[in-house]
Amino acid sequence: MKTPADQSDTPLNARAARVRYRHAEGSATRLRLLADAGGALAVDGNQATALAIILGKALELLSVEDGVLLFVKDDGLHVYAGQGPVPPVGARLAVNGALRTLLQDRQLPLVRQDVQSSLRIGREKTVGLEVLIPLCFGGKNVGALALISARQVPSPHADDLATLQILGTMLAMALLVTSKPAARISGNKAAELKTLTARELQVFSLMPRGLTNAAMAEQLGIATGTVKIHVERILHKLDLRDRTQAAVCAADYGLDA
Amino acid sequence: MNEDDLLSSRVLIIDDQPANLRLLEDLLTREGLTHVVSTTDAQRALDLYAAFDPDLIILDLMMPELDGYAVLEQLKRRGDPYDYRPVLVVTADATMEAKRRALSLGAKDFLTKPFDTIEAMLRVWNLLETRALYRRLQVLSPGEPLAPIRFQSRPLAEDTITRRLEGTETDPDYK
Repeated sequence: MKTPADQSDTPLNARAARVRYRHAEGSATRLRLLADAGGALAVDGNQATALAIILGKALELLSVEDGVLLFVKDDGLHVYAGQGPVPPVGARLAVNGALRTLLQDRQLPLVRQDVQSSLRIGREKTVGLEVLIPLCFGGKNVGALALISARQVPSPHADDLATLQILGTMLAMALLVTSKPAARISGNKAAELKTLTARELQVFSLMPRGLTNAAMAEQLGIATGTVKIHVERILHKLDLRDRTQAAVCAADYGLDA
Repeated sequence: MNEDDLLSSRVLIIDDQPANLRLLEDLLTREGLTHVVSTTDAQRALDLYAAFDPDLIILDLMMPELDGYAVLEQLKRRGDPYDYRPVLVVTADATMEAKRRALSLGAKDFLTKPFDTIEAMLRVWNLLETRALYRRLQVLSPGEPLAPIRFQSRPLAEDTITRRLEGTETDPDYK
């Protein structure tokens, strides 16, 4: 009587064993990519460095040379990391062609072979392979991870693409958290904020730092008592219970940046 | 087979133990091989592979961080599927599982430590001979891709198809 475990230990033939071992090792490689990316994002450090590391690891997975990480900010597509002959970090790109297709809420990677890539700088635009991974979070695409090979390479494995999609979502979350788009302040909240005076707004934006009234007073060059009054007014105007709630609220508004 | 061709072969050794590297370097130099590069860092091995373009890789399995299996997997990802670039695995791990796993992942030969040095070098020569034959094949048919037509790039494939239509060539893959 053979249990399934026995069967997995003694494969039917070498061909099956080979497929299994290769699959297992491939999975380990893919998991390592996600672990490395998670590690790079988790440490307290320069985000640009972390993004550059992650882009490098993603390129390694597909063993291609050139890549670029793009993120939508202020209605423009900006380069956040790059490797090889691609637009430099900080450049703003026109959204057209394949990128437009990708950013229109496409949930799947776009793989194209032997194409003109708009992401390459220089004369030679023809590339052997261009893989565009959407940075998808909350049903919206907020950017793209492009992996490009100048020479002919076979199309990436489906499991690799699935892994890169997970990476895309991780990157989308990381970039959204740090970019704090103003769009998060909805209309009525903005109206609430308008009721605060300029000085109150200053105090309010300091609250997420958890400073004492005295420390805030020192920062703003006013008396401690004045800060206390400002805080009380803010709590009253915005209908908040205490300092902690006010700090959370200010952070929600993205005022602590 | 001209022995001089074989002596110019490039060998890359990947092993985290410097003592093992020295042993293998000595053996290969004694055989008369001059282009031998080695590294103890598996992470950098892949960059070295790209830069050095070795004809043979001698790989240890048990290494910290990136083990030999991971290196084999990466080489598979990196390499051209229609290229013959042998990897000889040398390891102290004599378990059946290690052999099966390494051979599955594309190692062309497997030696367990401690090994007979002459046997090890005979295996190296055999692998290098096959590699030399492959290189010769490439030289004899320049511009003739070894990949079947369905794996060629579009311009190359069109070129091949044109030549076949003109009757100058028959399709070896055609079944």
